[in-house]
Amino acid sequence: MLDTALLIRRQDVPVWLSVATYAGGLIFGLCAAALCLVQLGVPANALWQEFVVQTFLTQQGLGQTLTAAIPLVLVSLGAALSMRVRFWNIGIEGQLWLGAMAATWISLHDFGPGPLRLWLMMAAALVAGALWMALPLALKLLWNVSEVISTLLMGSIAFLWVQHLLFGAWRDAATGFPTSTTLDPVERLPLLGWDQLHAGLWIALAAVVVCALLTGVTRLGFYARAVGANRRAALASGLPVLLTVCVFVLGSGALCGLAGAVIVSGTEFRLTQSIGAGYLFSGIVVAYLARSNPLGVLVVAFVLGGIYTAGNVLKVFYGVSEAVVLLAQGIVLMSVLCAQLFGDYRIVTRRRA
Amino acid sequence: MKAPNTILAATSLLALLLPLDAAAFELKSAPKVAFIYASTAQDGGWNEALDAGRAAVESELGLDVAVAENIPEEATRLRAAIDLYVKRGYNIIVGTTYGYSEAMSEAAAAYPDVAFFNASGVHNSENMESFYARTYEAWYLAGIVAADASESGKIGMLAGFPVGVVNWDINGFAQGAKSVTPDIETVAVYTNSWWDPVKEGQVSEAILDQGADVVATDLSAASALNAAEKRGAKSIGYQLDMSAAAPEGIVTSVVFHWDQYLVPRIKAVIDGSWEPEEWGYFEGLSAGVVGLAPYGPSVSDETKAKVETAKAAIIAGELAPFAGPLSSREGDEKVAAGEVLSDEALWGMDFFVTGITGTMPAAQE
Repeated sequence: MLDTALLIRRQDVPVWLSVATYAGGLIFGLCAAALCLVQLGVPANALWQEFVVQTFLTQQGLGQTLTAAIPLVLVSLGAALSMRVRFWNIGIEGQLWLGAMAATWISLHDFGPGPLRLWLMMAAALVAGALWMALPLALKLLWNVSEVISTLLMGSIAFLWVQHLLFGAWRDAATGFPTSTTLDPVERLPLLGWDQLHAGLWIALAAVVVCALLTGVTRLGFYARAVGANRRAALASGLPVLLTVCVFVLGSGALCGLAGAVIVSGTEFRLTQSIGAGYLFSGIVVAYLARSNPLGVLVVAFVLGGIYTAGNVLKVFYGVSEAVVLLAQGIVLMSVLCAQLFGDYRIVTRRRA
Repeated sequence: MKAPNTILAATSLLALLLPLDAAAFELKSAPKVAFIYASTAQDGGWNEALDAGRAAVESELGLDVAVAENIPEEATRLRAAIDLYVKRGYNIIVGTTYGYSEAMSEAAAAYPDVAFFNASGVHNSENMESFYARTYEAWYLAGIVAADASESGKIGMLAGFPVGVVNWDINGFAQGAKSVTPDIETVAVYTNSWWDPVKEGQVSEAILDQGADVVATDLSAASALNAAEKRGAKSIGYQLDMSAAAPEGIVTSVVFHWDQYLVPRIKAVIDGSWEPEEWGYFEGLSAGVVGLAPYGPSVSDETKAKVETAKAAIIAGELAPFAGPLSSREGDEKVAAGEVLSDEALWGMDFFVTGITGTMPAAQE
C-alpha cells in the first residue's frame, strides 16, 4: 500500500539536466517571489517590465547589472577556488578590505609613475589579499586550526584596521569624515562609456578565464579535484597536495583582495567604511550555486547582479522595504538551491507489494 | 578720480557678468522630488527627523514625494538609485547622509538639470547643496539644562564616531554645562556605530555607573534614555523629541526642524530662485533648523529662563559656544581671546575641551 520514494545519487549529471534544474529553479523562484510582491501591492503588470525588461534588456539596467556583477564575480571566484580544495574561506570581506587598503596605500603615496599606478594598485591588492589568507592557511597546515574560525576572525581584524586608518592617518582632513581622500584620475579604472560600467569588467572576465584554465585545463586543476574529493587518498597516491592547496587558497585570498581594489578604483574612488559589506554571503552563495565552476560563477553573478538591480528598482519606485527585497531574493536563491536535488538525485518510487 | 572710475567700470562689468555666471538654477520640467535614505526612514532618529521635513514638503508644497529607503552608502548602489529617478523625470533629489557625498556630487555633475541636496554632506556646486545645522548651539543649551539637573556634578554623553559633527556636539554640551557649573565633569563615550540600540543602552548604564546622573545621547536610538529611566536618572534625547522613551527622567531633546530648511529651499528651486550656497547651508538656532524639544517635568522655571537668555544671546550673536580663549583639554590653544572658532576648524574638530573625560579613539597622530 505505502509508496516509498528513494533518492538515488546520479553518478553523472547530464548537462541538459543541470541546465534544466537551474532554469526550473530560477523560474519557480521568480514566480514565487513575484506572487509575494503582488500580494504586497506591486502591480503585476509592472513586474515583467521591472524585473526583466529594466534589469536585463535596457541599456541602463544592463549597465547597472554588469557594474554590480564585477566585484561579485571576483569574490565568488575567490570563494570557488578555496571550495575546490575543501577550504572554507569565511574571511572574504577581510581579504577584500586588505586589497582595498593596499590599493589605497599605493594611491595615497603615489608610488610608481602615473601610467603604471593602476597596475601597481591591482598587484598590491592581489598580494595583500593572499597574505591575509596566508596566516589562516599556515595555522591550518601546521596545527589544523579550523579555517572557518580563523578566516572569520581575520575578517574582523581587517575591518578594525580599516576603521583605525579611516579615523586616524588616512582620514580626509578637509571634511573630517572617515573616508580617504579622492583618487587621482589616473588611479581610476576607465569608464567604458556605458553608465558607470568600468574597465573592471575586463579584469573580472580575465579572472574568469584564468580560473577556468586553472581548474579545467592545468594539471593543478586536476590535482585540486582529487584533493577536494578525498584529501587523504590524494596524499596517498603521491599528488602534490600541499602545493595544490596553497595555490588555490592563496589564489582565493588574492582574488578577494583584487575585488577590493576594483571597488575602490572603479566605483568608490576612495576607501570608505562601507565598501565590503555583504560580499561574504553573496560570494559564498554564488560559488555554491555555480558549483565552484568559474564559468558558472560568471553566469550566476550576472543573475545575482540583476536581482540586486531589480531590488533597487523595487525600493526606488514601489517603496518596497528592504526586508521584502531580501525575502524575494532569498526565495529565488532557495528555490534554485532546492532544485539541485532533482539534478543530483534520481527519484525512484516503488509500490510496496 | 581715474582709479575709482576703473573700479566702478570693473564692478559694473562684473555686475553684468555675475547674473549670467551665478544664474539661479532652473528646472527644465515639472518638479518631481525624491528622498533617498540609507536606512529605514522611520528609524526614530536622524532619518525620521528628515522624513518629517519631507512630510512638510509634501503637505505645504502640495507635492508627491518619492522615497527610497535602505540605499547603502556605496557609490554603485546610490548612483543606480539616482539614475533610475532621473531617467523617470525626477529633478529634485535629496540625500540624507555624508556617505552619499561623493557619489552624489558626481551625479550632480552628470545631471546639471537636476537639483541635489544632501544632509550632512560635504560637496556643493551649481546644482548641489549640502546642508547641516549648527547643532552645537542647541547642545550648548542642553548643557545648561543638564548642569542644572545634575546633583552629582557629573554628566555623560554617548556619541557615534569621533568626527567633527559629533565632537562639536560633545564640546558644545560641555561648554553649556560649564557656563552654569564651571567645575562640572562631562563623561564622553563613543559607541563606534551610528545605530546599535543594545550597546547604546549598555553604554548609558556604564556612564551612570561612573557616577553621572544625566545622560545625553548623540545617536538615533532611544535605548540610552530607557536605561537611564530605569535607573531613575535624567536624560537628554537627540534628533527628535524622545520624551516617550523616558517620560519621567527626560529633561529635553536636541531636535532638528528640517522643514524650516527643506520647504523654503525646494520652493525656491521650483520658483527658479535657488542659488546653492557656495559652502553649503549651515545655520543654527537663529534659522530655527535646530532647537530644544519641550522640557521634561523636572525642569525648573529658573533653568528655562537661563536657557532663554543664552538662546537669545546666541541668536543675537553675542554668545558663541566656542569663543576664545578656548583650549583643548591637553592645554593647546585652539581659539585666541576675542576670536571665535572658524567653520573650517569646526568641521575638522578633533579635540575635547576641558572638563570632558573619556578617550577619543584613533585621534589624529
